[in-house]
Amino acid sequence: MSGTLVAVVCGLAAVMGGWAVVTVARDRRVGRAHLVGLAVVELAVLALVVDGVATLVGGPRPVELATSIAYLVVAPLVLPAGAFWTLAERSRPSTLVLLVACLAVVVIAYRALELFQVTR
Amino acid sequence: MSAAGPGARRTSGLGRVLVALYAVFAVAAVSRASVQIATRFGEAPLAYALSAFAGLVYVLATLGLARTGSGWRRAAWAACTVELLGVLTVGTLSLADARAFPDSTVWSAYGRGYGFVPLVLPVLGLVYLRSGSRRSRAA
Repeated sequence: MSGTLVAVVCGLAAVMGGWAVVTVARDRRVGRAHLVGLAVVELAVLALVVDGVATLVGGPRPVELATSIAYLVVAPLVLPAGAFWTLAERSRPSTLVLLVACLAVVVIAYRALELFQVTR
Repeated sequence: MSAAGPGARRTSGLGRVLVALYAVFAVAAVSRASVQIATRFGEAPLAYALSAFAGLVYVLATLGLARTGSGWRRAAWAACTVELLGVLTVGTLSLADARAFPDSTVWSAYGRGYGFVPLVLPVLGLVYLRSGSRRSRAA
């Protein structure tokens, strides 16, 4: 798994999470621009998943194979779920759900990198 | 979203953030426990059974906080209380008797492996539930 790609995902997700905080601080609501931003982060996540699958197929495989697969399956679902839960109620604090989702993506990407580095 | 009747207030505001946090931990704990139990249950049955139990408690808390109705509220109360007791008990035991917990669970060392969020989460949950029940009594 590419460390650069993980860094890109973490960076984009961190920016998006920061944006959510700024949105809450300025008392704005989640709009189309946020969804575009989330889509950009999601594309990076998908690239990471493809990279991870390629690593699993081509080897060397991580020791924690089952866990690694679970990370690849869950990773692309986090942002859509967060977006859904945020949009279901456009209140001020509800925007912070995006921050939770973005932080989760950062943790998942970083842990995935750690998992994929320990190979047989 | 349902109409806000007595005892059936929808989860709003910070409650939604709490639900999101709980959902993350529900997924993390359940997946972790599934992998542990499926691949190496014999190594640390107690720790892995506890992992699974913690996962179920998180799922129940997520649903209890997200759904409306007094039954779900009670479920959320129960889940958050069990969770707080669990993280304190397992946290203490894992430090006192490390051999009983050779592989860590979400609750080991008070959730240190997860940035102590497992310790903070039930407290936030209980505070949120308390403020909710106070609001409905005032209304």
